[in-house]
Amino acid sequence: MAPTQALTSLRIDPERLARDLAGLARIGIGDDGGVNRLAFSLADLRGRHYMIHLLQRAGIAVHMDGIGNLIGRIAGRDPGAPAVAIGSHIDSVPGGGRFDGSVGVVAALEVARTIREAGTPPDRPLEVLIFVAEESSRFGFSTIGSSAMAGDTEPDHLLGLTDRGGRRLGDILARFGIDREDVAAARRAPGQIGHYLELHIEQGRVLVEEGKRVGVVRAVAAPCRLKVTFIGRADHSGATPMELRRDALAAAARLVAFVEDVCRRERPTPVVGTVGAIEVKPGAMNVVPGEATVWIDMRSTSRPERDTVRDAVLDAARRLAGDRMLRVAIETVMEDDPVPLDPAVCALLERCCTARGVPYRVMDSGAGHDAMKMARIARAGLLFVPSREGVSHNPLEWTALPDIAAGAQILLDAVHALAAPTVAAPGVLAAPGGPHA
Amino acid sequence: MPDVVLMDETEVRRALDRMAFEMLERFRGTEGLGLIGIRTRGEFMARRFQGALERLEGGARVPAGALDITVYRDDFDALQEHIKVAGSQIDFEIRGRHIILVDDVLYTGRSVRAAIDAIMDLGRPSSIALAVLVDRGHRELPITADFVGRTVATARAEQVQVQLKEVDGQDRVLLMKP
Repeated sequence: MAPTQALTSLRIDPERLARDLAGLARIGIGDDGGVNRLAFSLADLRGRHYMIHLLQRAGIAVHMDGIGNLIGRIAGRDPGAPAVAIGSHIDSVPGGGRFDGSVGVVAALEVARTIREAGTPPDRPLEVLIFVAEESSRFGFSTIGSSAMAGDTEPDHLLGLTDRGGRRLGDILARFGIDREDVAAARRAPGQIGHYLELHIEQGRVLVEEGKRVGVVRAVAAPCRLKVTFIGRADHSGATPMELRRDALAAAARLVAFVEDVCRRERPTPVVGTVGAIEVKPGAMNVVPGEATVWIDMRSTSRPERDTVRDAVLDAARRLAGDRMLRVAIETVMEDDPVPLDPAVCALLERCCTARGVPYRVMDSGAGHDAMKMARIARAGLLFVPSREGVSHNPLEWTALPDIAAGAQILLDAVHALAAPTVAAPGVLAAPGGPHA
Repeated sequence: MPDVVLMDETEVRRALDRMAFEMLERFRGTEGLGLIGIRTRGEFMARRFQGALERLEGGARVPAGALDITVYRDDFDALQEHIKVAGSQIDFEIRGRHIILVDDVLYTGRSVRAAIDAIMDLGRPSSIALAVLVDRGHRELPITADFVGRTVATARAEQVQVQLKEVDGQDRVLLMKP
């Protein structure tokens, strides 16, 4: 069934893509070469201004939806047909890299632009989506824009999210004239977007280690995030004998070690666990810590495996608290289901790689992406390109241009196959059913 | 105090026409030129320059666009009005072009500074020149205009208001006393 000839004669322009990517990287760049485009920061807004300009130059009409996502749209010959959407995000972590998200956004632009320049309108509408606030760095909540588009999270919950400076997302959106009704209206009904494809950097080292140029992602691991606070008693560090102490940090430290140990055990499907943040009160060298909070992030593509780990971590937290006469407060900050991506889209992406002779592998994603939210309302696919040494969320993040170009070309081939069904590979669109039908 | 009419419709038209001639002279034609007007009135001035340049050069095409400088303003955090994200409309490539930035009134120079930053982020132009209908002085930054409709000595307390048909229904420039 799968033809192996090249699916389209259209070619992306790698130089143009590189230029646009470099232009975006300049906005919010720090002295260390890191990108600082925290969601809704000035740099983020300027980055969006830049992307709007590039879309306009390409003759692609662009508008903002009710959460602040930018949507560029090329009309299809059948205006009522479900759109083929491609996109990613341009917001960054503090001191992040120039490829995370940006590669997908610029590649999406390049794909749409190439199709538009070919002169023949696609059969189905084509959308370039630039999601807001994919990174959790500002509001402690990731994929805000795609969550709103997928209708995955209640608008009031999103509006109530608060950053470290105490600013509510709702108040920030109000500056753009966005209110609760707009956020609710950002939701796209199932069927409006037929397919969603995203190109992203891997942010790990699997592709590099195996010498592959592209990863076709089969499933996205989802995080379970816990906030665990041990509450003991702050005491004088000199005057309090060891046996009388109720040291909250000592318990938290053992829990940190436990998370690493439990995640290192062999399992049918791996679970990765991280304690990336810790807060100690009162936080003085000569005071026994009275309160310690750890934020635990556990991820897997298997919900049952992750649940097993979570239960073990919770047991350990309670046991550690009991041993030391501490109170423990446990808050589940986030608990998402792992997301399988659309098998037919995966198969199409594999065929495109084969047709172009691009070395690829099928893999899972450990990191969350907008694609996992879009999978709720569309047949979604996700492509990875290699990250040098697996480095990401770091100024040293790097992906070689030929890899980006290869990924963008596969994206173009797949989008072209989906948006112009008359020349699509047989079987791709014909398959009815599936989770989103 | 009643408002003083600094320029009437005829004077505005003559000034814009003269500035268009000066642009042709300075750039020896329209090759590689691009007009970018600062929203709101700069945009319509840019369109008028576009019309004038294309008319004078018979068949030349000069691209014109509109720039919303909101996210480049130095008082962004204090702004009360709603921020428009998709406020700019520039559908030509800035890189390598001679850009003529257009605004109605040149005052402190802060808007122009913001506009230059915005343009540089969008692409690296060969040059940026500035065209304003009124230069009223009181610069707070080292900025000067290349094409000026009229230079007017004003007091800081006074206001200069440019009115254009596209926005205000008529062409004129008013000096409003406090």
